[in-house]
This record gives sequence, C-alpha cells and structure tokens, in this order.
Amino acid sequence: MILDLLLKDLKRTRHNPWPVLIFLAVPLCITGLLGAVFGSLDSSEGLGRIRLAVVDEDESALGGFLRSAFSQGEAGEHFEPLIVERDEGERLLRENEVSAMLVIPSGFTTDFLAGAEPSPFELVKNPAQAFHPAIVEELMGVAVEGLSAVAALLGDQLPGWRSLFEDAERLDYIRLSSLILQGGERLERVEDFLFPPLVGYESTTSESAKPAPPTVNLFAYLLPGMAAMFLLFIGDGLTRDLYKEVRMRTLDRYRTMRISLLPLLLAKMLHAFAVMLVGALILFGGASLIFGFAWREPLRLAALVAAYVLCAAGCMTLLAALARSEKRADAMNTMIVFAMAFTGGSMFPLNVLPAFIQRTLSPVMPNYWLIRGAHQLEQGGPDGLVIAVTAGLAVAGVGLVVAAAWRFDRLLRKGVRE
Amino acid sequence: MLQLNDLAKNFGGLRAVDGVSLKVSAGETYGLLGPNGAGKTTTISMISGLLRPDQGSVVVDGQDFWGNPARSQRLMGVVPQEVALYDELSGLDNLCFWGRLAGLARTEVKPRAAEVLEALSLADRSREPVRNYSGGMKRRINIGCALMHRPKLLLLDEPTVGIDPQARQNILDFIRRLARDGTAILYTTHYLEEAETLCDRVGIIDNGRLLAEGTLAELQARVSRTALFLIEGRFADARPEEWPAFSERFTLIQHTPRQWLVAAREDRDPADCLRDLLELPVRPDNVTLKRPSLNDVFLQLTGRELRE
Repeated sequence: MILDLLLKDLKRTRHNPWPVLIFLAVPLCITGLLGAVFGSLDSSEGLGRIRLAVVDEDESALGGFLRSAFSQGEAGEHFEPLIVERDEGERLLRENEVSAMLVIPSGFTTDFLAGAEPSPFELVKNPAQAFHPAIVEELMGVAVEGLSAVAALLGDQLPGWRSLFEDAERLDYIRLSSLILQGGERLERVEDFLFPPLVGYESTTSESAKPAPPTVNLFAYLLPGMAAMFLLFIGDGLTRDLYKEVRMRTLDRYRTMRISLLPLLLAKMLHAFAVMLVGALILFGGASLIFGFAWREPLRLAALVAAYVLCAAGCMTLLAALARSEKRADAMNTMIVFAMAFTGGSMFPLNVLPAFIQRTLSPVMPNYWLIRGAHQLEQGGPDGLVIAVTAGLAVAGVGLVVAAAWRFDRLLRKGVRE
Repeated sequence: MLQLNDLAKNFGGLRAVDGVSLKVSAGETYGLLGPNGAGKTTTISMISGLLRPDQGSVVVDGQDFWGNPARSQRLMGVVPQEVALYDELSGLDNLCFWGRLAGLARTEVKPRAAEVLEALSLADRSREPVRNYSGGMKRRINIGCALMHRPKLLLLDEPTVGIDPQARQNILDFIRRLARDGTAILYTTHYLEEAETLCDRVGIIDNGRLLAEGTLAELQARVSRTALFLIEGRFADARPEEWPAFSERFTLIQHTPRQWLVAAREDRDPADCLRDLLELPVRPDNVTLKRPSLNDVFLQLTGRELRE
C-alpha cells in the first residue's frame, strides 16, 4: 500500500511538476552562487597567470633582459607581461586588468653598470587584488637582491659591459665573449659557495609523522551547511502536502478505508525523501561536476547525505503534524526551519554561535550532524563518528515519522479541517 | 447491513448527534433528511470510522465497527460530501488508486475501473485530468471511487450538492441501479425531492436527533391522512385557538399573516373539510388542496421549514 501511495504522489508530481521544480531550482541557484563565489579558491586550480604591466623608460639591453625574463621559460607560465607606456599602464591598473605595474626607470642600465646607485624600480600594486600584487612584489625583491649580488661579484668588469652596451647597434661579439669568459671564471672561483651553497638542507619525510592536514576548501566547508538548510526547506514544502490532502478531503477518504495513518505518512515522507535526494544530488553532485571539485569520500558522503535527508524528511513530517493547520504551518514552519538552520550551524560557523547554543541546541539539530560529518570526511577524520552520525540520522528519521503519524492521528480525531 | 444504536457525539459543549438509531437493509435506500448542521455528516463520519462515537454503536453486517474496523471498512464505500479527488490525476488514475487502497488486486483494478467508468458514462474522458471535468463529472467520479471494491453498504453524504439537474438525475438513476443490485444505501440530503423520489425509507434529523422515520407514505400520514389545505387571506387578527370547532377537527401546521397550512385531524372527505374551513370567521382569498410533502412533515415536527 505504501508503494501505491508513493506512486500516486510521484504521478501527481509528474502531472504538475512546477512546485517541485521550483523547490529544486533553489539548490541549483545556491550551488551556482556558492561555486561562483568560492569555487575559484579551489587549491587544485592554482592562481592562474599574473598580468603585469611593464613600463620600460630605460629602453636599454638590461631593461630588455628584465622584460623578457617575465615572459620566458617557467616565468612565462605564471606571468603575462604587457609592455606599455606609463599612461596605458595606469589605465590598465585603474580598470583592474593587471595586478601591478613595474616601471624600469630611465638611466637604470647606465647607473647599474657604472657601479653607481641606480634609480629604484617603481612597482605600483593593484589595490583591488589581494594575492597577485603581493607575489609580484616578492619576486621583485628577489630580482633586486640578484642584481645587487651581480654588481658585487662583477664590480670591476661592469665598465666593460657598459661600453659594450653603449654601442648596442653594432654588438662586438669578440668583446662580449671575452666578458662572458671572465665572468665565468669569476663564477667558477665562488662555485664552492654557490653550488652547493654553504648552508643547505636535506628533505626527508618521517614515516611515523602524521600526514600534513589537507588544505581546507571553502566551498566544501560552506556547502554542507547551506545544503542542509535548503533541504530542510524543500522537505517543509513537500510535507505540507499533508494539509493539501486534508483540504482536498482525500485524507478523509483515505481514513474511511484505512484506520492507520502510518502508511500515508511514510509514503509522504518517502516522496519528500526522493525529491530531497534529487536536491542533494544537485547540490553536492553539481558542485563536483560544474566546478570540478572532488569530494574526498564521495560514497560515504552520499550515505551521510541520504541519512540526513531521511531524518530531515521525518523531521518536517513531524513539524507538519504538529502545526495543527495549514495556515499555522505556513507561518510557523518557516521560522522553525530558519531557527534550525541557525542553531545547527547552517548560517554561521558553529564556533561563532553562543556557547549555550553550541552546547544545548546545536547537537539536537540534524543539520549540525550533517555539517559535522561532512567536515569530518573532508578533513579525513576518524571513521567511527561518520558511521555513527549516518546511522543515527537514519534511525531518527524513521522514529520521527512514527511520532508524526501518532500526532497527526490525534489531530484528525479532534477534527482538524484546514 | 447497517444498524446504529443510540449513537451520540459531542463537540465540546455541542451535542452534534443525540441518540440516533436506525437500520438499513440490503437493497434498501435509506434517506437521512435534514437541514445543514442537523448532524447528518457527523453520523456518516461515525459510521465510516472518521469519528469515534461518544455513545452507542455502529454495527456493520452483524459486527460492531470498532471490533474490526478493517472488515467494516472493506464492506462499505463512502462518498464524501466534498469532491475528494486528486485534480492532477485522470479519472482512471483516481479510480485505480482508490481501488488499490480499498484492497483490489493490481490485476483486478483496471478492468474494474473500466466497468465503473462505463457505468458512470465517463469512459470517453477517463484519461483526462480531473481538473478538466465539469462539476457533475467530478461528482460521478467521486461516487465511482467508492464503488471500486463493490461495497455491500454505500454511504453517500449529499452527493449531488452544487450540480445541475441533468447531472443530478444521472447520479440518482445510477444509485437506483445500485440499490436494485442489492447494495444497502444510506443517503444524506437536504433536498426534499431526492428523499421523496429516491429513498425507500426516510429519517428526519434535526439538531442531532432523529425525529421521525418511515416510508414516504408513513411520514405523510403523520401530518394528515387525507390532504393539506393551504389557505391564503388576511389572518393578522385571527385567533384560531379561540375557535373550539376548528381545534377539534384541524391542526394548524403553519401560520403567517397571509397564509395558513391546515391538516384535518381525522380521515375525512376533503369536501367536508373544505366546507368546515369556509365557515370559519375569516375570509379566505384562495384555498388549495395538496398532498403532504416531507417539508410539511418537517414543518410539523420542528415548526420550521426544511428550506429555511
């Protein structure tokens, strides 16, 4: 009989799918929103190429060497230098199209090769970006250190290099090879200090040590809480169909055929369970497919989510039974779901909630356990907790629907009519 | 098939049903006639298991309902006052669903639904969603859902409310056929014509109490064995209680300043009665002779019309 009742509800959904589609559209939008906001922070995705405006006011060979250093080899994979005039560079910065603007000052090469203190590089960072400008700044620091080291090592050869570059139009390759040879000999003399350096390190991995904690993905951290809340709302909307059955008098007709309400409520809960599962699939599976995020333990997460959906469906069925009327359910259930979402940690991280809520209310909320279990799975915590949470949620779901049947039966016998 | 013994139900301080007792036999159509709020639906609810009686018992086919509710419910079909169908589903789907719930086997349910649809003249529209049906068609499917498991006892709670005369006639004809086939029918209504034309016996209920019951002829005889006289005139100053000859021979069933409804106390020739009435110290403008109706019975029992 439960199957017939469930098939009837599924048929009704098929013939009039709009309410359910609207229920499912909400998690779809939320997944998209969360993914759009936090999906790019996925550690596996990397930082992407850093766009950098380079203004070469020096226009010398050394400036050219610095410019090309950003676009060749490994640096070329991480940087996208745009050689521009200062005005254009400033415009790109204002329009947030580059992360920073590097200005190579006029006369930089001449001063550097003369051994005089050269004009400093000018690095203008984009204040609208957080990470990329900081990386450019760090790299420029390294480059300046490197140039200083070169100046210190090749000090007496710099005039030779300077005269070579001054006649840049017709490069004297014989002099160039001689300078390179002298520089090479100087490098060989300090080879013992440079290769290897005086101070070194050896990388080893201790077998007994704990593996490093996995990086926290913000999307994976936030999604279970949000999903838990939206699944509660879906469950609430679906289980209110009980009152539609009261209003349509089909529940009365049912009761002229069967005394026990339990099969009817079980079927309602299973219908809500099925639709909520689709919602959960959209939320958790959609995140994985659309944003290329991989859950660490997909099967165990699926079991946990299914158990949560069962518990939430039971919870919402009981809530519908407690409401006493459709109007009261409309007003009361939304507030209760918000309260559950808040106290269970769906809206804010649990550790920012007041201590008494964390101690007393949070542990009786099903969403609290889904969030805790999902975080545990993502952080590779102990198996026992997740198994216990999954089993506990499933048992609670069945218990709640039995309580709902008892309560609804009492209500109907008192004559609930709308 | 059905026996109610001293059935009573209270809602807070209101006694909705007060000591109702009646019997319905196989093949009999029993009409429970009363105005809105008389206690008809509460009585049906107690018979069908929607409400538990505070007092008395419901016996279905010789067994107390609450002794084995599942058995009793299998024997009866209930047609609720409101159309209790799933609008999104077709007529066929509704019949099949309720048939399954009533205990029909999966293989049995579709052929039976086809039979019912044919009997209700709805076979050609069976696959359309119920929301596209007219009021009369919905009412017919509403009845059909209660008939899927071939119940021996059919409870119909005002099944023709709000539909056009043609659709009502179709439903009444269908119910007559069911009764001819041996189904015991308890039919509640506040339409006098339905009770008069459809029911073998009628119980008149008001304020939760069964005031009278019997065949139409028996109930008519309670008012007058001959006929009723509807006298029109100016009766504002008339004092019939001061006319001993009138009180001995007639009963004043209803009186307004413009109209009296009078019944003869004994089985007398209407011509003699008319002569006596014309001798009264009032001047009638018109006198009409008519057979007592159920409304007149109700009027006599309660002092007010059923239509009020």
